Amino acid sequence: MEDQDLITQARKGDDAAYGQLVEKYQRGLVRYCYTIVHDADTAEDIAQETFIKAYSQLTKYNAAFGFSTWLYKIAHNVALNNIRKVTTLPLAEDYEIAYVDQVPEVLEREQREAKVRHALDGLPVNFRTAVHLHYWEHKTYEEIASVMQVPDTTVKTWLYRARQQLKEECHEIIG
Amino acid sequence: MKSLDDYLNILEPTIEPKRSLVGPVLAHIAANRRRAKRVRLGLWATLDVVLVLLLVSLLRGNALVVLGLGLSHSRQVANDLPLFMRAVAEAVPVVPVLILLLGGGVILMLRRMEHRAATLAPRFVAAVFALGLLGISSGTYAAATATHVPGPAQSEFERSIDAVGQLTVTIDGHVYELSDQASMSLTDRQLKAQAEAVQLNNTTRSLDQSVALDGGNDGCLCITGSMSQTSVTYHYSGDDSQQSTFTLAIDSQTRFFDGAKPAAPFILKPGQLLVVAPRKDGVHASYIARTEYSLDEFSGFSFISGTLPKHNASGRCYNYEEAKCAALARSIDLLGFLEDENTVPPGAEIREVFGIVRTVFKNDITLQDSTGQIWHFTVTPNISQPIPIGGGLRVEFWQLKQDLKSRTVVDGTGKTDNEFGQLTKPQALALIAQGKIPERPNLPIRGLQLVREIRP
Repeated sequence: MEDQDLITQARKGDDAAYGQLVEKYQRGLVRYCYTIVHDADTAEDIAQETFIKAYSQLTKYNAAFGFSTWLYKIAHNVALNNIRKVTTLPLAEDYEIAYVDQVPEVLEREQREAKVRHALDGLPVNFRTAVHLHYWEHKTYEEIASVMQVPDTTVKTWLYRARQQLKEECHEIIG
Repeated sequence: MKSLDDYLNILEPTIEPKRSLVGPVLAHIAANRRRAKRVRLGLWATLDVVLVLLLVSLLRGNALVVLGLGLSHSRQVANDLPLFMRAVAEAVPVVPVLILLLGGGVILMLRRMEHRAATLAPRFVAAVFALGLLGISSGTYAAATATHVPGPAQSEFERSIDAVGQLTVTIDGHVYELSDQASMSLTDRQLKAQAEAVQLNNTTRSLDQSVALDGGNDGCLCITGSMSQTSVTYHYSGDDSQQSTFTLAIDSQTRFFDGAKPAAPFILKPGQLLVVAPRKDGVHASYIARTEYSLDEFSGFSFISGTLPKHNASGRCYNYEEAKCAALARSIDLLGFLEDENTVPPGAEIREVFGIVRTVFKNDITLQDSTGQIWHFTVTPNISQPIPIGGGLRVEFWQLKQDLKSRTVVDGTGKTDNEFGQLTKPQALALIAQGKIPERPNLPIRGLQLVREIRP
């Protein structure tokens, strides 16, 4: 069933339909939240809160935009609110790489990726979020601007600066 | 070496949710829903209580009383709707109603957004709206029909109702006090009215010559009704004992009033019936319009319409005596009915004629009935009352059947009925002088009744 059909059913009070939407988008939403907050449990909590908030505002959803974009927009706000409450962000959990028993080539590649990841983590939240939506969610500039509630040009600027900063920090491994 | 985009494309976070969010999200939504429902019910319950309190405080005063009176006395309401509406308008406080209307509007707007309607709020809002509309419309109506004397309308209305309970009734905005017989339920009153009407016709041969509405202190119960609702059979038997069956259908046109008590002007329209029934003592029985006549036929007669112009300060006529209440529609028995003095021979039939007086000369009267036929009577003893030309006159006489067949009973000349046509007084006198109209037709007069409007 298409998103719009599920949304229509959910608006009529069909919890099962909304459950299907949650099932469909929870993975991407958790990852997106993780990109922002760098904590798996917090990311899940934010994703859960996003779904609850989205349900209460389901009547306001405009079908002209993608449901996932609208969902990410809510999550973005929830996550930023969460960041404001938490003074220090934890380090990314899944970036810890086991170096034991790795062949030298693999070890070298993983070291290079870890360096890029480390550089990514060091980006400002806005840059990092824009990179996530652009590279991993494959959102357009307009959609990213909608999620982050900034103009398109700002999104482009953030992406440009994010790339510049990453290149500076990883210039020895980037061609 | 890889480019930056190569690295970014492969560095997507690989974190997986440790738990499914479906269950917690739906559970949370259900909990929110339950909580919102409780809050909503609490809100509406509070609004209900507030509205109930407001409504009770609003109706605690006269409004409830007036509305109750209106419901329990629909006849009085129908008889005097402007007065009742004015009483309602005075009793329903406008400002609180308007406040409630505004509040009700807001609540209705809120309810419109609410899909559930399990509380009482809408009913109370509807009640407030109805009350407001009633107050506003009644006020408008009362203002548009401001025909009443100033004063608390509720008091007036209550007084009219109390008066009914104490033998009064409101007719056309005026209060009449009825005799004891009328202090009954409508059904009983109908029966009583009919019974009295029958009694009227049985006792209407009163020899009271000068009284139509002479109720005196005892008065009489007057009943007017719709002629179309009246079924009448009336005939005389050969032995001069009259039999009459009179059925007055009491309907919305029926009016009661007590001739002896304060009353207001009334207009007897063509086709309507006005009967004066006797009171308990049965002494003052009389009538002013005989129901066996088609009043439509004689609608040109002056007695058909009449008013009571004499009133006291409150607009009510207190006296039916001719001098004080002039122009009262009435009739006068000039001779009464002489059944005691006339022996009707066997085979004779009592007839009556109803016509307009064309000539009067001494005791000779010529009248023309509705068909144009001329009737001539010589009346003895002398007529004590002046008979105006153009007035209505009713004459009863008896005659033999062979006379009826010959159709010469009227003028004794053998002429056809319309031969004389319209006569002026000189013409009639000339005819009498020529012997074409006998001075003393061989027709014993049984009764003579002048039906006219007396204007002293």
